[in-house]
Order: sequence, then structure tokens, then C-alpha cells
Amino acid sequence: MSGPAPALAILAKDLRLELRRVESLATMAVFAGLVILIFAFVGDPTPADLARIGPGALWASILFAGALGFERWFAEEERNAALHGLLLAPVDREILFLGKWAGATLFLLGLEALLVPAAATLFRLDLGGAWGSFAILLPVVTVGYAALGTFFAAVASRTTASQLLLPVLLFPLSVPLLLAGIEGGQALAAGQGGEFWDWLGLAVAFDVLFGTVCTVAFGTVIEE
Amino acid sequence: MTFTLDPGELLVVAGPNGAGKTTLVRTLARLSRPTGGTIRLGGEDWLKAAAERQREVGLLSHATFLYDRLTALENLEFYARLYRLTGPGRRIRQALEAAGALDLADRRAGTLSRGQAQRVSMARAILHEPRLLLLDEPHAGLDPHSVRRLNDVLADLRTAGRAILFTTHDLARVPESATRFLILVEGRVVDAGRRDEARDGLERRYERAVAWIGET
Amino acid sequence: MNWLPRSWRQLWSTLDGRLYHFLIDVRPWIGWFAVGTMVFTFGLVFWWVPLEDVQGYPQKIFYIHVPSAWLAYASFAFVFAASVLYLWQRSRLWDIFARCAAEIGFLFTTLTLVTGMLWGRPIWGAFWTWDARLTTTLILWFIYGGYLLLRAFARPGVDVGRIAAAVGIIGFLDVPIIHMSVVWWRTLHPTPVVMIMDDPGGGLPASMLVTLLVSLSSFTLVFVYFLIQRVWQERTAENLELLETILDRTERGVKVKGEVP
Repeated sequence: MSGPAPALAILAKDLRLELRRVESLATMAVFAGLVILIFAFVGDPTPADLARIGPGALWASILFAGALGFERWFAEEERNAALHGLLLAPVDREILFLGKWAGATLFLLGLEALLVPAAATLFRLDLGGAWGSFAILLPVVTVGYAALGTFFAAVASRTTASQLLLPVLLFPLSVPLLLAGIEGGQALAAGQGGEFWDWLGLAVAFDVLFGTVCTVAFGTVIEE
Repeated sequence: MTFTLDPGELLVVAGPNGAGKTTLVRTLARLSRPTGGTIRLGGEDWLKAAAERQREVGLLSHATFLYDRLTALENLEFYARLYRLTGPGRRIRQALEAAGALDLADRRAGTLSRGQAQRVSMARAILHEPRLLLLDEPHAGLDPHSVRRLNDVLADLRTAGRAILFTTHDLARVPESATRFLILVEGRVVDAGRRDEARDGLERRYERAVAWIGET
Repeated sequence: MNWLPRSWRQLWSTLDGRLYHFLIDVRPWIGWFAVGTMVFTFGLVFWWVPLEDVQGYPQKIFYIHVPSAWLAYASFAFVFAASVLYLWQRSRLWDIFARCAAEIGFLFTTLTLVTGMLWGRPIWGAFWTWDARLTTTLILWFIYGGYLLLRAFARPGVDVGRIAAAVGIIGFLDVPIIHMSVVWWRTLHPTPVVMIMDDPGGGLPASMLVTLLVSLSSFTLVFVYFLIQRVWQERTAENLELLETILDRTERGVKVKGEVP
């Protein structure tokens, strides 16, 4: 194994690339905001409904914006065949995946830093003292989603319709994470601590299993 | 097909499109897995060697492997970290200098012309001082001036003792420093020899080999 | 896998070939046997098995629905096994098996959903409820669909079999977790939206059980027959393509390495 240093190099490179084009992150944030807006139209919510729909709207916006992002972040490696440059380096495929995965996680977390306050305000979500618990759930779900997203962006990049295929492959398999995010959030809003921990446990188990599987399977997918 | 390549040699692999040149280069660079056969690098089974040994090969193809939104220098810094080079600053300078791209260091890769980008990419390919340098149609899309510059760089590298494999479909642009040639058609070696034996006859031998196969 | 002794790998690849030829040999027998048992099954369903007291005629769809669901899930396991074998052996046969099993699995998943909805309308009063099992099956349908689309959209020159195998394995590992999460989602929920009737499978009278078992076997036979037939088609198509390349090249005087099985 080549150690984690190359993964950090990839992460730093991805951060730099994204910061050079803040427009693209901004566009994703606007897109996610629009998803939240559309949820407000669903079912003409009363104030009581708002808090119930809130977590769902938040996670749906993250899910959709994420699918856009994963495709773009991986497409960076497709331009000028930069991926070949990575594959050519004395670095194990697993380490390459860890680098891309870490980048995707960070970008999603950055996006969420904007979306959570927005959704909380618009849907009058008040978790009160439970915000701390939510601050654990959020990254746990995000890490798992970023693993699947990065992996399937690599899968979709090997097809002629990557933008189309990525969500089709990614969403069904992300259902447990989506449910953990939504139901965990609702459990917190309803003050049901026990249920929350169940969902958090599910998300952690999902992260461990699919984080490992995606890391191992990445090489199979990107090799020619 | 069987061939060997020694340090200080520049082997030209010529062949029409679809001859398997790119497949050959990718297989040697371990970007593709062959369905059979063996490759030895310095006596060891290359196909089973650890990822760490990738630092012994460098590859320049028609794609530059550069990130458009990073400067040439930043691109090389990234690759230096990926290869965990010691003394990256010095290595980058040397590579840029050898590739004739020092003046391009602070330009973003996306703003470079084809010839400039190829020079920076050359610096990327030799950054980690590979024993074996593979070039897959590096002349594609280059103007005559850039071709000459690239060929000069290759001559220097060859003299410095690197083993170089160079593929092309255009014999007019074969570097003068080439020592041997190999003509590849549909995955088979149809002709091979020393460059100096065929100094003028190379193009004719190529034509004959290709015509025999019935390709244009 | 390279760590296996060479003789083992050779044994495996001969087994591949043997297995394939054995399946091709027994194919017509399986086909006719499947037709026979299918006719018998429908005879039992329509004329022999007694009408269920509460549900009446709609209950009879159960004899199609349950075998379809069983095969939908079984083919997913099949895709998983063939995918693992393909990544391990890199033998074209397993890739073809995985793809064909996915196609047939998609067919049976669709059949499961459709028959379930047809039954749900008279019994539940709605084509669809977000019951845990229904939801999981719907998600399974999407996973199969995505898998087949991935294969359809493969970029030329890319060995899509390997990528699809990775997706097939991940999908299979995910299904139990999806099911668990969906069950939690339904049962932990404060207000169930629809009253769900007891599953009609509990405490079946002997006649219904016999009919179900016969139906399960006949559907499984049909599945096996479909699978062999599809694998044969695909394999033949690939061989034809290989032959064409070889003919094309021999005409031009180039020797090609490759064998026609």
C-alpha cells in the first residue's frame, strides 16, 4: 500500500479545482434550494406539515444536488484523460478512491452548511437541543452517500450517458441512507431519541459496508 | 509479438490506425490488462509487480493528463505529490527545463496551445525520471516546430540512458535519434530492424508492409 | 484469480465448458417439461384448487404472484453469483449468465409488481400501498433496470461485463439493507396509512399448498429454460461475431489468434 499521502494530494487538488470555479458549487446550491422550494409546493403544507416535510425536503435536495456534483467531480478526471495520469502513478487504486471520496464528502458537507439553515428556516424545523445529534447524523449519511456517489460516477463515466445513468443507478441503492437521514431527522424533531439511534446505527453500518466495497471495487471499474 | 528494449534505445513502433499501437503502449504502462503473454521490466514479471513500481514508467500520449484549471506548475506539483518525490521543486524545474517548458510554468493548462500543452505534458511524463518512457503518437496535432522541439528532447533523454518507445503512423516525423524500428499491422510485427540499416528505406519498407496487408 | 494453482483454474474452465454443453443438451427436455408442468399448474389453479372463502377469485393470482416474486429474488442472487464468478474467472460465460439472469429477473420483477397490483385493487381497494415488501420489490425493479441500462449504454471498447459485475454485487449486498430500512420506515412510523391484511400465505389448506408448490416448480422450470435459451443465443451471437472477424481477416491474409468454441 502506498500510504494516504497521495489521497491527500488528490483531495487538495480537487479543492483547488473547485475553488477555481466557485460558480459550479454556487449553481449546485441554487439547484438544491430550488428542490427545497418545490417541496413547499407539495401538498400545500400547513405549519404543522412544514416540520414533517422539512427533513424530507432537506435530504431530497442533498440527494439531487449530490448526483449533479458527483458526475461533475468525476468528469474533472475525464478531461484530458487525467484519470490515466492517476492510474499511471505508483498509487494503489484504493488510495485513489479514498482521495476522490474525501473530496466529494467535503463538497457535500459545504453544500449542507448552506442547505441545513435554509431548510430549517423555511420549514420551521426546530430541533432545539437535538441539533447536536443531528450534527452527528448529517456527516454519517453524507460520508456513505459520497462513497456510493463517487463509485457510481466512475461507473457512469464508462458509459455514453453518464449524466442520465448516474441518478438511475445511485438513487435506488441510496434508499437506506435517505431513509436514515429523513427518519432520523423526524425522530429528533418528534423527540424520539431511541429511534434516532437506530437510524444512526443503520447509517454507520451502511457506511462501513459500502465504503469498503466501493473502495475495493473501484479498481475493477476504472481499469480498461 | 516479442521484442526487447534496452536502456539508451529509442524504438519506433510504426503502424496504421488500428494496428494495436495504443493497446501496446497501454499494456506496457499497465493501463490495460493483456489477455495473455508476459512483460518483463528489469527481469521481473511486470504484470504482477507492485503498484509502487509504476514510477519506473512514464507515458506521454496525445491526451495531456493535465487539469485545465491548474497552472502548469500546479499540475506538476500535484503529480510530484502523487509520486511522493523528494525535492519536488528541483525535480519540477529540471523536468520543465528538459521539456523546454520553463516559460510556461505559471500559465493555466487550459490556456496553452496544443504544442505548449504537450511540452508541459512531457515534463509531467519525465518528472519522476522513469527508466522506460512510452510515447503514444505524441506528434498528433503538433506543428512542425513543436515536433522538432519534442524530437530534440527525446534525443537528449535517449543519450541520458532512458529506454524510449515511440509509436507513430507518420514516418516522416520519426525522431532522428531513433535506434530501432518495428512495423506493426493488426497486432503483428511485420517488419523490424535497426534504424541505421534502413535510413532511407524505412518509409518504403513501411509502405510495402502496409500494402501487403491490404490496408490503406 | 492468480493465487489459485494453475491446474485448478484449468479444471474450472473445463467445468465452464462442460456445464454449458450439458445445459444445451438438456435444454429441449427442460423446455417440454416446463410446458407440461405449466399446463398442469393452470389446470390445478382453475379447476382443482378450491376457492378461497374471503377473497374469492382474486386470490388465485397468488399462484402466479408468489412464484414470480421467488424468481425475481432468485435471479438477483443468480446475477450476484455469476458476477462473482466472472470477476474471479474472467470467463465470458459467466458474464453472459449474469446479463441474461438480470433480464429474466427484470421480467419476473415486473410480473410480481403487476400481479401484486391486480390483486391489491380488489382486496386492498388500491393498486398500490407503500407496504415494506411492495416498496422493496419496486426498488429491486429499479436496480435491475439500472443494471440493464448500464449495459445498454456501455461505451464502445469498455469491458462492461466487469463494471456490471461490480454493480451486480453491490446491488445484491444492498437489497437486504434496503428491505430492512423500508420495514423500519413502515413499522416505526406513527400512523400506518393503509390497513394491511394478513398475508394469504399463513396457514394454507393442503390443496392450496400443493397448488402453490406445483406452480413454484413449473415457474422455476420456465425460468431455467429461459435462462439457458438466452445464454445460448448470446453465446451464439458472440461466436458469430468472432467468426466474422476471423473470416474478414483471413480474406486479407492476416492470421488471427482466437478460437471458435
